[in-house]
Amino acid sequence: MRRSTWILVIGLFLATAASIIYKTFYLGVSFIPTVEKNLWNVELSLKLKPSARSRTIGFPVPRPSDRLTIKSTQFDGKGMSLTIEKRPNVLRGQWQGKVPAAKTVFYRVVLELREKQYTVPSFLPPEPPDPRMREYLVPPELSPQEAAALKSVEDDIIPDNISRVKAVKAIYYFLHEEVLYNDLRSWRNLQEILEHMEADSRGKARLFTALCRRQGIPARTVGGIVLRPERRADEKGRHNIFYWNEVRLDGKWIPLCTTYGVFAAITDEYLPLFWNADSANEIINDEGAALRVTANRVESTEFSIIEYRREIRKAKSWLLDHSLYLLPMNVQSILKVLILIPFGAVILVFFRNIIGFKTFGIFMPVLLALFFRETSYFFGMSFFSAIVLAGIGERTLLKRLRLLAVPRMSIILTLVVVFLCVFALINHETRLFREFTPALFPIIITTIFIERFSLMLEEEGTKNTMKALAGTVIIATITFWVFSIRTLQTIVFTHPETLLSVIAVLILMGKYTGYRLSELARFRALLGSDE
Amino acid sequence: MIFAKLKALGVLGMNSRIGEFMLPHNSRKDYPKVDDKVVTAELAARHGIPMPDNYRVIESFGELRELGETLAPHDAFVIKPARGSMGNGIIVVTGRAEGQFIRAGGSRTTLRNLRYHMAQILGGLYSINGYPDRAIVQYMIRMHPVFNDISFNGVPDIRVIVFRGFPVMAMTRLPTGESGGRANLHQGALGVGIDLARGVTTHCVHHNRIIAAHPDTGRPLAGIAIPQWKDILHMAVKGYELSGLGYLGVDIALDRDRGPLVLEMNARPGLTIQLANLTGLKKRLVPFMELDLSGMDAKARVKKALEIIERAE
Repeated sequence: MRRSTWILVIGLFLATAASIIYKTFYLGVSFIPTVEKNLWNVELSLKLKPSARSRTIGFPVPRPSDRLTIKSTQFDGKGMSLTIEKRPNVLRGQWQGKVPAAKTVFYRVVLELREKQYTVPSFLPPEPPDPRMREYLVPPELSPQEAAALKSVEDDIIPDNISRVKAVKAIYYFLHEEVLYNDLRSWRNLQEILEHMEADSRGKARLFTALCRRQGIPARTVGGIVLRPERRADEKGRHNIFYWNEVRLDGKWIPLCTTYGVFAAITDEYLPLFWNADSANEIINDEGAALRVTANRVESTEFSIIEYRREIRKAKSWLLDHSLYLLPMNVQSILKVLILIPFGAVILVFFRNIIGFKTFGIFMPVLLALFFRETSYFFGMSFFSAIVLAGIGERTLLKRLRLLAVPRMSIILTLVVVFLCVFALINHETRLFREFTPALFPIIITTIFIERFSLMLEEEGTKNTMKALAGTVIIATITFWVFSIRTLQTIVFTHPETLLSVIAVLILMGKYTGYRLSELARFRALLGSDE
Repeated sequence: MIFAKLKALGVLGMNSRIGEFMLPHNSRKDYPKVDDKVVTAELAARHGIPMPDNYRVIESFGELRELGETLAPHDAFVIKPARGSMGNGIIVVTGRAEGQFIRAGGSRTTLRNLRYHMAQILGGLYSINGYPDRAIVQYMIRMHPVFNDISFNGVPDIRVIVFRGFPVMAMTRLPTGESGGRANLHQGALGVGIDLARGVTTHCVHHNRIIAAHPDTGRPLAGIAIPQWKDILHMAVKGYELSGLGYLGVDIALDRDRGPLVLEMNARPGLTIQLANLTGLKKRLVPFMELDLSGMDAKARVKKALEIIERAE
């Protein structure tokens, strides 16, 4: 290969790399729009008890916050109406109306959870009493035995004249490290917990709240679910209610969990449903219904384009002022498909010039892969096979009419359209392919394909034609598979300069004058003669 | 390396043929000279290269109405597309009987059928790129008796690869029952290698496999001396001056009465000739890459090429 060609190829690769490095490292823009990982499909279903009649049944609804975003909501009350009411410690959903025969009503949300860190100063000046905190300071009602047990623990772990922050930490460490977590034994009595030194999450949280309040520190028990795989109660993703705490420090509610050992932070696994749980009991233990919460992770392939647009606007660079993401959405969606075509061409060149596949036409496999992508692989293949068979049949019949080439091809084109109409009608009745929408260019592709195919059958025989057909379908399948890699699409769409590297790869392949793999078979007689 | 053996044998692959021989030696502007047989025939007349007579070149659908009159003076003729490829769209008529035409192979056809076929040619059905084409009514080659036992239902031709005006490899292509009388290897014709210096057949390839006897006639295929061999080579290398193409395949038919006639030329000759000769083509081509050919006429080039090839092997 000539020196100038090498320089060109290396130059194209370097240009790609330089541009991407400049954008991601110098301008500090994300390599690709980040993936929204933590999406959950949460279902709050209420199984209405047979005794229930026309009445009001409440349940907690996930409440949007700075770490919880509701993406979509969906509900089915089977005739009951839903109202959502904002209460101090819960966002309360309420079903009202005649109890349906089905007995189970749903409320579903898709939500995103994020983690959050809090900073707690080690020393806090005394604060004036906050009337809003009064309800979080109410000491629990205790039996004399419980009070005595608590007192002896407090004497042990909380020294006199300790700061509030240190007192909270002492209580946290005691519950996290000394009281064992055991969700099979749920002691209802605080004295029993301290006697056995083990508790479930509810016991731990209640004890934490009680100990804090007795120190004059506002605290509350939070109920919700923790989206850890090991916390799933069954295969369908049912979760039992889990409890943790929030404590008021420095004018903020600071979350903590003595079960999993999280302090002044909350991971993206915690989904709170109600606060101050001791007084919110009636919400989940409604006499007329049993609440069941199921949560399943949404396999999300959504890239957060909005975030990325914000980033590139902020970067204020010439390169990014011309990002494809700033185009109108409909233009973007077309370009997202078109931008993959060069990769299809690379695959095609590889299979034709290096492996030695035969194909129909040159770009037919790439067009076919695009067709599959527009519909679906299964649909595309079925539709394509059907239409090719129909086309061959039509052509065999048309041959007898002795028509000239162009009118005959026009008739095939017309028949493809007719076939498409019939197919659409049948599909409408059977609903076999829900994703079916007739698109423009597949019709042209199939028409050209049928013409080439039947001509090749006549000229080169069945064997060669089948080879070309197999080659076309194999390459189209692999190309379709590569087209389905979302990350590749996103990388190229985010950095269209990768196409310069594609050109470089094509130059390298264009300069390949070595043998094709298929030529080993083709010239095997020559190889044999040598031995 | 898996390809080391092919390389050692000097086999020419598809990518190398295009990248190292066609692209540097064949200029795009020269392709029409060989892709259109009408153009080739005009050029051949100027260069004194004999080709079968074109009785008539039909360019428009209107001319087809008088096809009966056009064909009236000829009992035997060939209809072919001017810009066809791989022997597609060729109909050979060997005679007439009861108002019908007898095709090579014995089947009958009507004027109506021929007219339809020619209309398809004009429409571009057999054209190399699908554009409208011209149809040629041409002299039918009378097969030389040397091929009587080894050709089936059709006329064989001789393909000579000419590189920069030097003959480098040759084979004869023999029609079979499978190929339907056509001398096209893809369609099942036989490729029989020819010893370039002596003009004697060597090995035979059928669908990439080496065979010894004709599948239809059962006759052995090696050791047959091609008559007028030197004339064939001289005629072939003149194709270089005619076309300007450095890497060229010249197809020549041997007529019983008129001797060798150039049928057509090909700017993209196939690679199977290597199997027919059991020899790599690339190693034959390489010695001629830089060779100075100034002042050498056709005869001198043939002589020089045979010397170089003999010395190398």
